[in-house]
Amino acid sequence: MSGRHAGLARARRHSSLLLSGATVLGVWFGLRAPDVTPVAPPAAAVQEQPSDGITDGTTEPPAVPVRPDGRGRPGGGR
Amino acid sequence: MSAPAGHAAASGLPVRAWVADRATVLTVLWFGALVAGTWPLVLAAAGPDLPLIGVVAHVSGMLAGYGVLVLLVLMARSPALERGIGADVLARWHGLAGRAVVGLVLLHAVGAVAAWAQLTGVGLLLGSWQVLGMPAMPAAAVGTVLMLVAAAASVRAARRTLRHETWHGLHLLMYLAVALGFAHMLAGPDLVGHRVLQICWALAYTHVAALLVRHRVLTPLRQAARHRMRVGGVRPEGPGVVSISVTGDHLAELHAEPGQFFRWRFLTPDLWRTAHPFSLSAAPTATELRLTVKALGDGSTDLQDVPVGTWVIAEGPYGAVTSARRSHRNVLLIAGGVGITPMRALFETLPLGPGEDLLLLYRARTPEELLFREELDAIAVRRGARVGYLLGAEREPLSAGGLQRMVPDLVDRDVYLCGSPGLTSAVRASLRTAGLPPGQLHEERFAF
Repeated sequence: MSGRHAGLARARRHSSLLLSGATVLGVWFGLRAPDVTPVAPPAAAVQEQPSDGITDGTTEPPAVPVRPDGRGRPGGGR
Repeated sequence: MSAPAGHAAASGLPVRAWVADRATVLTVLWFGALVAGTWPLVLAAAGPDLPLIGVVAHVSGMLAGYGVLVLLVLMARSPALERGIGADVLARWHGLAGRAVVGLVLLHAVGAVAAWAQLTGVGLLLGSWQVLGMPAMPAAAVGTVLMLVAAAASVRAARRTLRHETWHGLHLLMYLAVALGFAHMLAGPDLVGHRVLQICWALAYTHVAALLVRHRVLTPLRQAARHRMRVGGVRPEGPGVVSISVTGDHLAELHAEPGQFFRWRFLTPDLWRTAHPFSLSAAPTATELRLTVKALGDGSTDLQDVPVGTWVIAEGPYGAVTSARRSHRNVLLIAGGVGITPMRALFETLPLGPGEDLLLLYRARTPEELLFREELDAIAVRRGARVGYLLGAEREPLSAGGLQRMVPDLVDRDVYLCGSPGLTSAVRASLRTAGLPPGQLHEERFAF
């Protein structure tokens, strides 16, 4: 194998390694990212709808539980 | 990525590199911006009420994060972009996108604080303090400050007063700024709760980082080890102008072409930190590359007496203004000042068949400022080409009328242009007035 071909093979190997490393690192960063935003909105932004005190007895409870930080959805004001 | 380069390199070997074309790249970039900017709007529409300023903060934040990626890609020195679009166009896009990103980052920061203050009922000052105290925010804030410092150093007025090396050092702070803001991006409310999006966002950044490492670090190091370039000789060409011969091994493997340039890093104590772009001023051979340098700044002045034997790392070749751009039988080359360097290489090598005409117009203020005069005359005689010297500061020869008088078939030629920004701007306007179709003008614009 000539020096040129050896160099190309080495370059391809380096590129593959770099690509694999970037993929592993990207997935790791993504998986390690928080699932609750630290820049949570204040409670005032997600206050519950005012109730008129009238129920017909058929209303279902909210399907989406309120998160521990009180957010109604992942996105909120900062 | 689209059209293959498909041109023959100087060595005669076909270059099977794939290159990106401008329309494809712009379409992809704008589509990405559309997606990044629309996603927060979708979330805002589906979620609880958010003040308008909060929505603005979200959209600007996502666009800023995406814009940073674009900035990095444009400067990754990927051959597909450098050869397909051209380093000068990429640099202009980088400058435009950089200004937009800085504006978006500021808008995001101000909008986020204002939204927080509005929602909590606190003042802007206290709101800023509270926001800065959130996880990942101190690092992002430091990153923002670094980004502003680098941006300020790139403002034209500041660039004029700063040494290139200083500006370059400050600009490298951008990488640190991006790293410091990365955790904040992944923790932002537009990505949190969408694990797939967080992974995709992180993958985009790590792959762009890999692209940078590959083309800005590994490839130059590999080329340095393979080609072992050194300064073989330095020859004065005129006042403050020298030609530097760089010798090395296996240089044909670089597939460098006349009209292209390298970013040269001369490994002396004063020069090793910065790579300077200089065009090849002669046809490359298997053992030698030649560049010609005019003393215009600190770095190029230091190069005037670079010692023979100095080790050199050359990144490249870059540049899209080669014979591959040619589409007509007759060619006009227009050079001004030290812009003659790539034109001289093209003048020497552009294929010239029977009945074809190759004309070089070379503008200089005085006869003493003409570079390569003997070489150009010899090339003209040898190849049956023509060279015309335009001396003085008169504008008329390079006006539309003047060019049409000298070159009656102007609109049926390919025109290659290289010179100072003032000259190229004037000639560009003249060629447009003369009716030259834009696709027949080939140039790369660099600040001299």
